[in-house]
Amino acid sequence: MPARPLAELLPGARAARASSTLPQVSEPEVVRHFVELSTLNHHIDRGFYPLGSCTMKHNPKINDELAALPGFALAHPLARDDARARARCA
Amino acid sequence: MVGEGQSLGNPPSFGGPLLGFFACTQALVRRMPGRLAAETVDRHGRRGFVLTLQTREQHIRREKATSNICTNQGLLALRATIYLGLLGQARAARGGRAVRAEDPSRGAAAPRRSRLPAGARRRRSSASSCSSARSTRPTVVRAGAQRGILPGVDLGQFRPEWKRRLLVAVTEQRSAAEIERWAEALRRGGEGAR
Repeated sequence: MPARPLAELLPGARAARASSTLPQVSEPEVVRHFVELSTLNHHIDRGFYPLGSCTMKHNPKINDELAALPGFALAHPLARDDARARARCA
Repeated sequence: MVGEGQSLGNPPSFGGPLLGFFACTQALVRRMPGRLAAETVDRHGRRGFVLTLQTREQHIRREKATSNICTNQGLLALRATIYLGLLGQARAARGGRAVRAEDPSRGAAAPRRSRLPAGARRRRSSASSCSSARSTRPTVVRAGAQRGILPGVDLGQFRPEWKRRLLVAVTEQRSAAEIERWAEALRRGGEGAR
């Protein structure tokens, strides 16, 4: 497909400028940071979950594993039924 | 101000759970629904994060609380945070342009093709008129589905005047090769042949 300038395709569109303050870190640094944070937090791999407030409800791990299957996770809510059926089969 | 955050590392998951964000002026902050986490320092001057503006919280004045509509969507926020951390400032800016402007083989070219090709018009067959298979021609959406492609959302299902229009989302998840395949599927679907 040929290249076309944005202004021609979407008149009035404005692309974001690099004004954010996101950190510049490597992938290992990101992984280490969040693994370290996880050791500061109480979670199912560190201890038993007592009955708690509504913010402490978590799914059993197997539920999250099933929900993360591509056929579920990548299914679009407005996909046609037959496409969804195929996704489930896949 | 409101925005959509689902594309920041969260899959569509058949419509949920979904991530959005919103912001307001300081004057309205106490009327904001949900919980507010804020940065602060402890008595030793160490940085920390706490729930703030606690008068909005259900454990103080339940009838006035705005926090009791919360569910725990922390996983979505966490995914978005990690995604943005991995992306970094430079790549986020570049990524935004890739979808919007700089790489027309992606976002910029896609909207141009979003009109359905001639002959791709959906035709509904009512029970009374449906006497043969010929009364139903394949739409590009159906033709795409047969090839394992969801070409977009047929907007005609929402408004008659949007007939022959597709809603298409293009993110960094789609490669240039996939987009070419998609365009080819649209062309084939437009031929109306089966």
